[in-house]
Amino acid sequence: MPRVSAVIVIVTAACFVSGCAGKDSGLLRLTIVDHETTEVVAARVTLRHDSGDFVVPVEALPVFDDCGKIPFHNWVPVAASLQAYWGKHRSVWNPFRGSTDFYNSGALATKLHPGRYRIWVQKGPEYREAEDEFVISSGKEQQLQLALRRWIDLPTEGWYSSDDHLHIPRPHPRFDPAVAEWMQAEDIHVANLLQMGLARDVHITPQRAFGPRSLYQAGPTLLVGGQENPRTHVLGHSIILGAKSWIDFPQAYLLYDRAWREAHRQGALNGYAHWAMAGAQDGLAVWAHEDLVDFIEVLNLGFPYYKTWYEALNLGIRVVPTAGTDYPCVRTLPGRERFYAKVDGALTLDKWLEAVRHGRTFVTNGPVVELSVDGAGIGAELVLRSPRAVKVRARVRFDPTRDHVERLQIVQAGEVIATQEVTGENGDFAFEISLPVSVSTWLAARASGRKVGELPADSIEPLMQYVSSLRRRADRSLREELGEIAKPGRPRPSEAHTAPIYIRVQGTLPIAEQPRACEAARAWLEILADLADRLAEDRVAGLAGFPGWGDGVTLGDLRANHTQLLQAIQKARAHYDQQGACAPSRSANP
Amino acid sequence: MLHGFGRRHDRSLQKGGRPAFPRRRVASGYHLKRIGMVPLWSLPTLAALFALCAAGVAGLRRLGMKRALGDTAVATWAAAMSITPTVSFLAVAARSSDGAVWRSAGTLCFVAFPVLSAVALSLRAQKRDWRKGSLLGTLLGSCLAVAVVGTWVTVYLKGVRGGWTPIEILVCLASVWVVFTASACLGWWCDRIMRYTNA
Repeated sequence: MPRVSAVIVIVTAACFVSGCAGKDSGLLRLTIVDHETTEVVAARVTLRHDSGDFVVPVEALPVFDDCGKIPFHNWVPVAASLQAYWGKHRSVWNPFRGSTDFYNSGALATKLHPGRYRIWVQKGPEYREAEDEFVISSGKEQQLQLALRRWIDLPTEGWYSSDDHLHIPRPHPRFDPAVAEWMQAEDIHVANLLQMGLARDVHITPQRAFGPRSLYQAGPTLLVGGQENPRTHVLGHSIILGAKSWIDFPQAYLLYDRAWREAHRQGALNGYAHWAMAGAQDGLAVWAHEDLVDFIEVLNLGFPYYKTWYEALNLGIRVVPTAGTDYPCVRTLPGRERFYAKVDGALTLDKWLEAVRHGRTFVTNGPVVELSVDGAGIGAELVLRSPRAVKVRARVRFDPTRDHVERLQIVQAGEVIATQEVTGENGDFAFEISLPVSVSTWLAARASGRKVGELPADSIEPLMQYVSSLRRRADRSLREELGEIAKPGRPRPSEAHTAPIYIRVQGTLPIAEQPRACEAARAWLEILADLADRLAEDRVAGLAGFPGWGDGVTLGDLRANHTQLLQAIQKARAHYDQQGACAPSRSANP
Repeated sequence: MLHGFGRRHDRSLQKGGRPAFPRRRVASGYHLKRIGMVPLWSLPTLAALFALCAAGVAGLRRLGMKRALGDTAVATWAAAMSITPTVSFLAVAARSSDGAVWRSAGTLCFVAFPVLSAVALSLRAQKRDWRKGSLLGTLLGSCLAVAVVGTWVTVYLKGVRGGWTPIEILVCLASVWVVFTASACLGWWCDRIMRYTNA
């Protein structure tokens, strides 16, 4: 009994002492405002004490993460909310600066230990970073107001930002306000929250609804439920945006066309995540010719990869570029890679989907790139009655404190036809060329450089290992194709790329029948032949399993969809064989 | 109470300044999601393990054959009362477009097994005027069975509409039945007093 009493006394004393210690703290009253409107705005904050410790107040906005947790909610639907709360935090790891940040609605009152603090505030790529220093004294109050200045206001020009790849759970409407505020803090206008599927009716990051039924609007921010499903290492990770319901065919999981046809029937958009690299390249080769793929996420995981997208465009398949982060499944922040879509008038989900469908987009991780051809904007089709010269104007705008854009290029049918070194330090550079156009083609603009004041990029070696484990012939040269990106310790790239402007010259060969289309068709025929080889009876077992990113695909699934898959491959091979002047490919791939 | 997960991280950060974001299996920036898929044979193996344990405890307690078989029959009946509606509701869920309600109902029947088994064994002992076993043991044993089977089904990575083959269904149902029965008996026979009454 005396021992118990002693313990009680010690614990009580400890509580008293710690309570007294709390009284030593001072109060910080922080307000974050938009410099132009003077409205209080949500933002991401880095708060560091002089000791080097990062501080996250308990009053910070909650964030939710559910990526790869055991999906109990598949059997127990009520567990979805519990799992979302399980993944609730108030701090986020910022891998670009090596700091621990938090989100704030714009007004914060929190107790801090006495000392000197440094604060950085960010709100997406359109605002300059605000920075300040302050001192907290014991028992005193410190007022601090930080004004975020825009260096560009894209919504006033009709461009709205979007991350097409967020795995943030939203199983119940009660999550909506918190998630919307979080997205506002990253200045994301359309947040596509994706439920992730595995083979055979198992899903992760549950969404309460999809498409229009899932829509939650808070000011200029839309939350929309979408899906990353079907999703296999065999045929890639597909994304469906705007479908009215969860689309899943567990018995035919590898037959992506079924899900995509249903998505199109529902007015949704289909696309490929992760640059349509590796297995996705196979899926694209099998079904893209049926106009089932609307977009490719060409900027993702910190770097761009355009080869597959360019090939699709050269084959006459009008695929739109998008970008997304895959947060929180990779070390990044929501909206780090994003794309802008040009919407006429006020932002609505339907208008946004239409803008993406028509290719009025550009992808970026900071710079804003523009392109016009004879006055026609991104996504437009310019019709020329006869071959003639067109006026091509490219422009890049960026925040020099965060991006060092080195080059601005014009890309024609996948080839860089003009490069200008970006000069000047005001973050605005444009050039114009007169381009003779003799055949139908497409043009796009690309800006590239490096990020300023950020830690070196993560190694992509795990990705390379994953890709090589798939044993695809087309990936043997991937490391060379990626070039600098594959090198460890490289600076993080600053990147932006527009969707194409199509030029149709009447009376000339369409894009799909030109030599570049032939070249791409040959490459895709090889991809299809390789896929058919790997699906052969004696090798199909090697395709099952989990080479890194788990998806639940077994030999049983492969066998169940085997016949239809081979038929789809055969159909695609016949299509590319017939494409234009591709006679040499017939001898290469009999 | 649920909010505690987030706050725990925050407090640690405020004091020590450690990165509060949950530690991930991160390899150079990429989160490799390795969701393990267990093979089918692992469930019958687990079932056999549970059955062996139950038989071992019955031997240790020197239960008579009549008593052991009687308790087993009751546990089997309780398992049937849980599994049959579970499977029925899940089958309906698989056929409906939004089967959340049916799925929940099925899960409810599944997790009701510990209570069902404890009540059934208790009533049976009372009726036969047998010495009662451990109610707490039955509840805990059955909860363990529910947790084991639930986790197995989840990491088997097949949902309700996941294309279950007849063999899979057969193996799973039989195994779950054995696991449930054995776990209830195991818990019930845990009571040491049974040894003296049945010796």
